[in-house]
Amino acid sequence: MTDKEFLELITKDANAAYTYLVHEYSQKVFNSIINIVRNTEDAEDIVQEVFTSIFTGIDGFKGDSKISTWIYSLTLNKSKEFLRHKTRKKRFGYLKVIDEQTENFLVECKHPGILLEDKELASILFEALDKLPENQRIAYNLSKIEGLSYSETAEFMGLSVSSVESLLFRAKKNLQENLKEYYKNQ
Amino acid sequence: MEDIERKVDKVLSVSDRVKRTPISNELNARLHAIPFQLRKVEFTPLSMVLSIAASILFLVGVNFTILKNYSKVQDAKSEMSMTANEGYFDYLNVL
Repeated sequence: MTDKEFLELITKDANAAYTYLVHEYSQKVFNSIINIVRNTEDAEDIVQEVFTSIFTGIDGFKGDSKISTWIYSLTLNKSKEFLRHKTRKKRFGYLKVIDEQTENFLVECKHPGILLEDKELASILFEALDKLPENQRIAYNLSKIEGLSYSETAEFMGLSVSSVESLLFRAKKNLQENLKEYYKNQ
Repeated sequence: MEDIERKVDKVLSVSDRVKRTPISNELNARLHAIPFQLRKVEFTPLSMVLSIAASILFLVGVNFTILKNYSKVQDAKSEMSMTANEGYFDYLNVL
């Protein structure tokens, strides 16, 4: 369905337009989010929040941007919101670990796509990834872990392809440095 | 140094082996249910008149039931007191 056809569908039947979006984008949105938050339950909650925003905002969608850009920007904003909330929680957690749930939150990594034999290496990678600036981390997750192309990553992040290339270059360099540091200290 | 670089490459290679996770049926159902959960309630003049009429009928019905039960209770009370009085007078007569 083209964007023009989609806009016509919104005016005729917003519910049908929403169902089309769920069918077309839920898997992509879920995969993007799970690679950013690395936890199935959190990813599912964020996907639900994204699609709730899509449903409530669908009447106001006038086609100023592409549908995919609109959905990806919602996805990215919700994911960033979650990461910031998580970081705040972590900072608080270091000061005062109140309950068991908070304590577990600091160490858990429940990405369902990680192979059992890679669990240990993955936790080292994710620890290093978490030290990267937010944009570098998201670009790396989308491009290297989810396997999106540079142009898809750029569309998702609302950036140019060259910006994404530069982010990925810096992300990889910083990751290597972080990991070298980690192994030197071992 | 070479050993560290080899380890770093090994860690980075994990990125290529992360498997795609299919969306669960439960989440799919939750997403499809969103329009039903957020369906807007639209008030048209007719729906407002109907809802007011329904409220009035409900209140009348409740009041009627209360009054009916109240009169039943009153009847029962007076019947009981009459029986008690009769019993008292019988007692006095015996005395």
